[in-house]
Amino acid sequence: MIEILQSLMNGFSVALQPYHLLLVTLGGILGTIVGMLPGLGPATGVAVLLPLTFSMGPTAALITMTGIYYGAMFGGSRSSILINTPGDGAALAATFDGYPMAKKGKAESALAISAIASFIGGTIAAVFMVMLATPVSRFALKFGPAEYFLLMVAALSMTASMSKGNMVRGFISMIVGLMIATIGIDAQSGMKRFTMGILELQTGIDFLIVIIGIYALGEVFNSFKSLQDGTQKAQTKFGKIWITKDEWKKSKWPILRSAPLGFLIGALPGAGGTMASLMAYNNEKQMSKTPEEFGEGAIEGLAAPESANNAASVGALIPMLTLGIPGSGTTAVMMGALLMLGIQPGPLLFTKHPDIAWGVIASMFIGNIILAIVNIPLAGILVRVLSIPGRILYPVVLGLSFVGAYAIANSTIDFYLLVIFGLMGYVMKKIKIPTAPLILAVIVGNTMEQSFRQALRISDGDLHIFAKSNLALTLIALTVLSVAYPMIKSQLSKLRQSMVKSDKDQSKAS
Amino acid sequence: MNNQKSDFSALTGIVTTLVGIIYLIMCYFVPRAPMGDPLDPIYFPAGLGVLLTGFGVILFIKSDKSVMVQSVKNLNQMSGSDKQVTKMIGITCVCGTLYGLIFEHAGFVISTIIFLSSILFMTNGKKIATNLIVSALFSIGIFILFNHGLGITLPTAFELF
Repeated sequence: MIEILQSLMNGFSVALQPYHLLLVTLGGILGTIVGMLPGLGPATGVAVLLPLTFSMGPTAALITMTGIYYGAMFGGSRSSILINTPGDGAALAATFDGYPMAKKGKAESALAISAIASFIGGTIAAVFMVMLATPVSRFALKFGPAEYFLLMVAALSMTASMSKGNMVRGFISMIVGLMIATIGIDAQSGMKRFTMGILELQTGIDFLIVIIGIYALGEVFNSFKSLQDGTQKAQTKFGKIWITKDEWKKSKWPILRSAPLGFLIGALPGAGGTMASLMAYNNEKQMSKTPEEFGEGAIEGLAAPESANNAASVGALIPMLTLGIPGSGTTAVMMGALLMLGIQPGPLLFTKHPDIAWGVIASMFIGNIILAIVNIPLAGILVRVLSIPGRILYPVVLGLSFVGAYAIANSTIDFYLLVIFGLMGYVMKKIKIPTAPLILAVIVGNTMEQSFRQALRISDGDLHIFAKSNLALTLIALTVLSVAYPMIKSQLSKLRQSMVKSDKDQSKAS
Repeated sequence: MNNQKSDFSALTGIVTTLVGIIYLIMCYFVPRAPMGDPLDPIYFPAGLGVLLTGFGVILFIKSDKSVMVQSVKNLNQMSGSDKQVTKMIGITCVCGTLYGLIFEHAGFVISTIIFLSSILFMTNGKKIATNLIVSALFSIGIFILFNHGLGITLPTAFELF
């Protein structure tokens, strides 16, 4: 424990450097602004603002990105509360009671409790992160290539199987992502694979291009529809943005209860902030003495999901930082950027680059404080962004995406790839194929294949190596469970529905 | 287009299966490794090809084919706004491609002003002054930020800043 505290203190000495403080503040403000814009969630926010970090060192880059990430999580709920349009999926639950509160003239309380709950949720989760990061990363050092391959299979399977709607589509998305990762010269044999004679494809497709294309361009394409529908006007003048004692009394326990829940769900690959905030909302509704007030502007119905949502964003960093496996779209983007800067997130990050790992963890605490300061008194100024019409905003996002793509490799070939992946993101959304498994697969694809081949080389081609250790067997069981559980759950709910229907038919007949 | 009735699962299944098969064929043409197991660079991709083909078939089998036929028919009866969105996406893709073609020749500032104002004309209408001001401010602002603030060199047609 003392060792952890010492590492954390060292982390604070990194995070409290004036330059890093400036970056986390800047990242937080930019993230809040981007997060507020309907359709542009944290993943898109980090993807679009990524070029800002290209010339920074890895520590500064990661601190800025986490600032953007939290900022986007803080900001996502502003548009939910004020215009009933969530910035991203995780802010959806904030529309349930946040918007009714604003309609009742309590926008100030809604904005304040959303920032307070986000701050508390994020801080509690950061404490969990401090306690768990070292043990998890030490445990991960026991992984050999076979276990590492299986860990990635498990993480990808969980992400694919938790995809909303259809698991098969999730797996299709995942496999396509892995296929994209196989394009280029094979690192082990030096053979060209799937380059189709195109010289520029020999170095492979940069995952950042896939990410910016699918998240930024794809989302802008999807947002063109809203340009046709017109935009809502947001309230931009407020009284004092704060809550009453009574409101705090109602909110404190929901906030404290939802933070650990959010952290746990966030740490699971594929689950993320949306699931965390919806579960926290439902939990509070079930526990409430006045569930009928939920949906009508109950402050606890806003506080709980906001706390869970921010705790989940911290939780999602656990698998990325300690195992090198991104658990969500946003952390995948962040991991992609780190890989580009030559830093491999994973268990060795804590031993080889403790300044980065602990600096980032310390900056979570600082970032949360800064974002609370920014989001409470300055909320009135920041929400003015919502009055920028989409017809001007989306072209600007497009411009940022293209310049970001160029900055990665100084090549205009990436422009064409960006267009292709933008279209792909749009079509995938239309045909209801989730994009997150594809993004995660593109990021881990190469490492996954290398681990697979390394394991086979160690075992001289014997596949039993993938079931040799207890750890490997546990990971296989976890993968099977992640696939089987949603199937069993869906069959059970179908069975329950048919039983209820037959009961109703019987009672009608009698 | 009536979105509620749109379900392209069967079509998605067919396309996925085809992509899987094409990928498998391409795996066959991947050069063999000169050292060690010659098929080493192929095993992993081949496995992916098989899996994708399999999932494509599963999706096709599970889908409601009659709904897909209706969905494809619905595509021909797109609403005005859907047609407009499709047109906007098409224009953006063409502009993005042209942007790539002129980017290094015309330089960042000029090509971005052209690209952005074209997109703004599409989204914001014929508000010439607003569109040009936004495009110019963005292009010059980003150029200064990248070249002087972030140390990332963007191409120039001629030295301006």
